[in-house]
Amino acid sequence: MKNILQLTLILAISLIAFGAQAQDDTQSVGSVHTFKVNEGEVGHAGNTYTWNVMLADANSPSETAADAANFAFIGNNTGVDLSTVKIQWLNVGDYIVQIEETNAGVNTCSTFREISIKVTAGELDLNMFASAVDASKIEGAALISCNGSAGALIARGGAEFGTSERFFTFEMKTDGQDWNEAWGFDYTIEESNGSGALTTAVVTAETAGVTVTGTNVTIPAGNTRITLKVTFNNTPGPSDDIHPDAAANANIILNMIATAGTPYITAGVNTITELAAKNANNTLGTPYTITASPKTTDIKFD
Amino acid sequence: MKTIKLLLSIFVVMFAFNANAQNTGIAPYVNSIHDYTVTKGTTGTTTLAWTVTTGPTGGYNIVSGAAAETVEVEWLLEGEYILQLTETRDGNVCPTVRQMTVNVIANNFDVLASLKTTKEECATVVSPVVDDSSDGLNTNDDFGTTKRVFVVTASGIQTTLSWNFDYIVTNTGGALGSYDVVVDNTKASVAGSIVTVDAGTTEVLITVSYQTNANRQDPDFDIKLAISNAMDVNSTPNKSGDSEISYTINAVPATTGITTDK
Repeated sequence: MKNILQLTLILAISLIAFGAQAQDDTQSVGSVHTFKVNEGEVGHAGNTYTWNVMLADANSPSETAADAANFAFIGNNTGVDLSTVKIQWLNVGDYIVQIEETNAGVNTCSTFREISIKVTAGELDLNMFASAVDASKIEGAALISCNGSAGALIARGGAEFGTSERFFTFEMKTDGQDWNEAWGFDYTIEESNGSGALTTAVVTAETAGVTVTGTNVTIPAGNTRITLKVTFNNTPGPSDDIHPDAAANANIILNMIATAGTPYITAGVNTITELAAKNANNTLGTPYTITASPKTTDIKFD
Repeated sequence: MKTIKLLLSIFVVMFAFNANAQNTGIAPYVNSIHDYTVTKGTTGTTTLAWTVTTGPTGGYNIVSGAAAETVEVEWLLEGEYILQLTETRDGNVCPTVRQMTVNVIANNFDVLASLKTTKEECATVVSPVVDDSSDGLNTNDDFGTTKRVFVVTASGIQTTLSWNFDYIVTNTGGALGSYDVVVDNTKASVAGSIVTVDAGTTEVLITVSYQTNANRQDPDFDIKLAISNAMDVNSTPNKSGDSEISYTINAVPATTGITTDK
């Protein structure tokens, strides 16, 4: 008897602890999803549908409206024959999408349905890749290429070996959907050659409208994919296979990193940050290698 | 003072008389059947004869027992009658006569069906309807149970008399699938389509229930109760005759579960 009572108590407590209804689906903040009822059903023509986004409460159906800053209907949320609705999530949280269908005509009886949605930042994902100026992807062997001044004439008396440019393209998605509103991130540059770290890189925006201020990049709405240009000094020197015992390999290794915890989207009035689980693609897996030109001296004459 | 006392006693007698005027043998309703009984005297063998000596012509019918200790009389017309019993010794000698005045009054026994709740209302629907197996369909979803209660009430009946009636529940208008009909049997019994209600009980409930939208989308429809052949145990007929009454149930939309793109 005692065991049965204990078991019942444990069961009762677990039910209370997990009493909130299980989520029907998990969706990503910023994403747009379609909700529908009565697909393929007949006998609903002319009925009025009212869609609401609610929070779970003790009432059936739920009566507490979700904060209007945390979601947006794309289009109307109430109307005749409106059996489909699009919702954009603007903040993390647990929500209930509720539909009230009311008969057409004088018999105005209603039926309520609900579905619970967990909105998380888990699928908010900044991705970056090496690219040409037109944002076309550069990968594999193409990541290794000559410095920007290769073949150029070095002015007599000068030792200026010029600069190179390389491009990095960034994109932001949520639930796999292109993000088309404001976003941004901070970055760091990894610029080095055999002698150690270099600090000549300057980052500018290649895509119009994008602002680079210090290490902060701000992207306005309308830009799912943006390209940044990194300009840096060439460091001439021997290539390692001709001068294997050369002091340093002058090839420059160049990478950019979107700083962990900084990529964000602006969803309505809310700022939502990418989670650490999505950090792997915030930097190039294989960085650029910029091959150096030989450090030829000026021509001397006797 | 004496006049007032006289008036009061008359009033009391009248009141007492009226309080008992619910289809008893002394004040029966038109169209009711009542028993009248004597016990024979013990002198030798005798014969009994029941007659009605005065009263409206054709106003009564001796159903059985004209020569028995108990006679069954059916009263047909309002009015005052004298019911007489003569007990005669064999050889047709030395009769004893007994009489009673019977006041046949208008039939006041009435059985009516009525609605317990609003005539026209939406079907009952669980709010919200839960999507069974979260499949976005409504095939196996429980929309709830709709119930409507009819009340059958008897009035003008003695508390010592039981009463009965025939009933039938039908669905009209839009078609309804299966539905349950339950007659409350705490103070009544049901045999086939006949309900017999205990003496002293003047109301019986008949409940109709069904699963809302069991066949996906119910139409609007009516549930009708028809009662007939209502009578008390003395075969007194229902003064208002057969009747029927119905609820109009408005359907609720058979909305499916909500689905979303992944």
